[in-house]
Amino acid sequence: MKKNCHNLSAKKTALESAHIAIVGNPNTGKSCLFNHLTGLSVTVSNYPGTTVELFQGKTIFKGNELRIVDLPGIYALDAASEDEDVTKNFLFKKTPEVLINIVDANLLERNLYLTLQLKKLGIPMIVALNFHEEANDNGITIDSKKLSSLLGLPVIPMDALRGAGVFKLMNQSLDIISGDSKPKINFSKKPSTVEVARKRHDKARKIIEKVVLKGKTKVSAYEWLDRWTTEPLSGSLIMVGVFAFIFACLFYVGAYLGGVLNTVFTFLIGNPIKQLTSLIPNDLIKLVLDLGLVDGINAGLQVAIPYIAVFYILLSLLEDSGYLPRIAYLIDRFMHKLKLHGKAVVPMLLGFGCSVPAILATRVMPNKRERLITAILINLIPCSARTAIILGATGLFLGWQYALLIYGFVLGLILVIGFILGRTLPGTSTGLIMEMPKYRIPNIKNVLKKTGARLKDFIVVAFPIIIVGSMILGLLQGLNLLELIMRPFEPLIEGWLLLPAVTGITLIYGILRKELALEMLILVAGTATLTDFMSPLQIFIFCLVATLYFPCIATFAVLKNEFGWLKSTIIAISTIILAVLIGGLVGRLFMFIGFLV
Amino acid sequence: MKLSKQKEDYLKEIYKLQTKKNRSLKQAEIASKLKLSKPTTSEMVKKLETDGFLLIQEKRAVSLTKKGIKEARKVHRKHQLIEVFFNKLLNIKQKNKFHTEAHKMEHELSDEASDKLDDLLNNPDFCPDGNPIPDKNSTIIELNKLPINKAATILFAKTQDPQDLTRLSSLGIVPGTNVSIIKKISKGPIMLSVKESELALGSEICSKIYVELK
Repeated sequence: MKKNCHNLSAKKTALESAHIAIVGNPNTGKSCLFNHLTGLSVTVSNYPGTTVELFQGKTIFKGNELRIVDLPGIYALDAASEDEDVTKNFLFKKTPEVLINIVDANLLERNLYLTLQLKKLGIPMIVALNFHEEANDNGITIDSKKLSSLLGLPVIPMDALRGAGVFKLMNQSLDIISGDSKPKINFSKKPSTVEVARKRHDKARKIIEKVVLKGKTKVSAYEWLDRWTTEPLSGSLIMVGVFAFIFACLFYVGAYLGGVLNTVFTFLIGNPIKQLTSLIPNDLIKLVLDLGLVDGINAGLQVAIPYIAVFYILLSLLEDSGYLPRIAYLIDRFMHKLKLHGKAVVPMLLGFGCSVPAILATRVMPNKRERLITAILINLIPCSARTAIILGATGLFLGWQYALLIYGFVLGLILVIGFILGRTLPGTSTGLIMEMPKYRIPNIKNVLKKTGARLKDFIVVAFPIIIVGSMILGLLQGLNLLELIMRPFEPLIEGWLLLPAVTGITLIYGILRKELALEMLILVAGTATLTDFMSPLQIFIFCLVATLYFPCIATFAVLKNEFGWLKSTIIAISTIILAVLIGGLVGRLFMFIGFLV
Repeated sequence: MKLSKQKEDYLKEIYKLQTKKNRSLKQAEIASKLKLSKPTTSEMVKKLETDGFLLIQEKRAVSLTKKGIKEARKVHRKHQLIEVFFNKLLNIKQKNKFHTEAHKMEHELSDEASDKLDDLLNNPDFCPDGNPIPDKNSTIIELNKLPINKAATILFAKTQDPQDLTRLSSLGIVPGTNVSIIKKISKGPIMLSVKESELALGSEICSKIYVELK
């Protein structure tokens, strides 16, 4: 044992190969188990196919450091989607020492299909029977010993959320890892034929018949909710209600939090720093430091963090509850008018959070054509950074109705563009084939963990840019270079978009990170009260333009990875043209009809 | 109208092949199964399309229509019943023997006689090879036309998309699986109950799956 332990820690921790890989169908609690084991923040969600990336983590168990990888949720190893590809490739190239196959006790028959396929690989494997108690409550009793002998694999009943059975699971895994046997893997690149699939399903059914005792099946606790949310009329009303609720939360809670953060920061950090910098004799250095260390950070805290945090908490709640696939089902028919199907809805909804994961999530779309259309539309969806701009400027200074108007306008535009793309891009659309997970109460710990991870990522990436960006802006201002730089853009910004010429620089900043546009605008304006600097119409146009042109450099990078240079460049340039065109037109239209003037 | 022996053979083999593959067929697959040349097959396929038994889809892929399925099942059933007759009553155990006999006789046996034979054999469920024998009065419809809460069995799909097919396979929608529709949105997707899980299926994919009502 001792020798083996030494062996374990001697291995390089460089990415890839892991001691334990967690594999299972979507929504079986894989990520939850992973979270439980590692304490590392990962995305846990209820939507089939969210964890497209691999998540790796470490745990110390009985003095051994074990590397654990959470593989994407899949239904089979047949490469019907990129998730299956990722898992298959990982298992083939970086064969783990133990596979933990997590199965949902409520849906054992369907889950065993993958188990039987995985078993063929020849990697030592443990079956973790999750939701064991929930199944019991639903009237399903599973004879896990019999299941184990029929499968020829250890089966451990567990509860990933509360951690019951996890110790046993780890113990067994460690036993296998400490053993000397090297797995010989038996790998077939070809997808299962229908006949093989059929035989495997038959085998699963025969096993189920022997190990599952069905008592009285209780009506699921949330069946009423399921019914209300999928009935076209009530479902649509609820959907609108949910979106209205999200909007209201963002508008009120976001603005409130922004105020609180601003006050706290100014009092605790901002003012003391400004007192210190006031001692600096050089005006230029003083300005640069003030903008970089105080005003830039303050702008980020006031307009970015609160809206993004609130949005992510709400999104995580929706994801983990299982509501998102219901929306997909509900509006599948409508999406057909865009020659897309309901499955596009979930990546598009994720796009309201951040365009980057949303574009990654388009991988769940079955073909390239639909992926491209969805990704193009995601570029236009107001992500949380753009929500921060819309609410932090238009919402705060013009009122929620005007913020809503921007949303309505952008969504209408998305529909029109989706309709045109759907009709002009060649190819056909395949249909919706999607599992409808049960409703589950989201685990608050998971939700907060997830939001925390996303925010941490945001702060680590965004704040250095905000600080440096603000300092550069301060430098340009202090040296009176800003207007000089912006002069060539004057005809466009002032002449066509009717905005103050200096706002051009903020729109350029927005390419780095979208919310920078507003943060820098506040700095350029020299006041957080934007109405002192711009007219209401100008604020409206600014927000509209900032919302429409392509999200940010990170989104561009993802687009380039997924679709190549040519397509991503075309998308980026078209959105800029679209934004400028629409900004100018709307400005003139509003002037003409005397709206907001 | 009595179909020619040749047409019956085509329909039967296409039916068997589609049930096995769960998709529409390439004409070359049919030709190789029947050991005929491609032009011959293509000509017959066209005739059967004109008769309304077959559907020629994009890329010349072929699938049976409901009418074609009905006719194919009739011949298939006769074949299987004759096999059972030879195997059980005449005690001929060699597969090639009872199979050849059945192959010759299936085209001659009248519908009425086959029903009588069915009764005589005590309505067997399976042929000697272990394949299920189709019911006499079964209704075949597309999945999107299946009424809510009505039990049905997947017959086969006529999709051509390999990815759809693999996805359907891994989620349990293979020939022989029992399904029922929990709810649907008119002209929109359905919610299907399969192996205790619920799947949302778009309307166009549903219209490409044949089911047998129970």
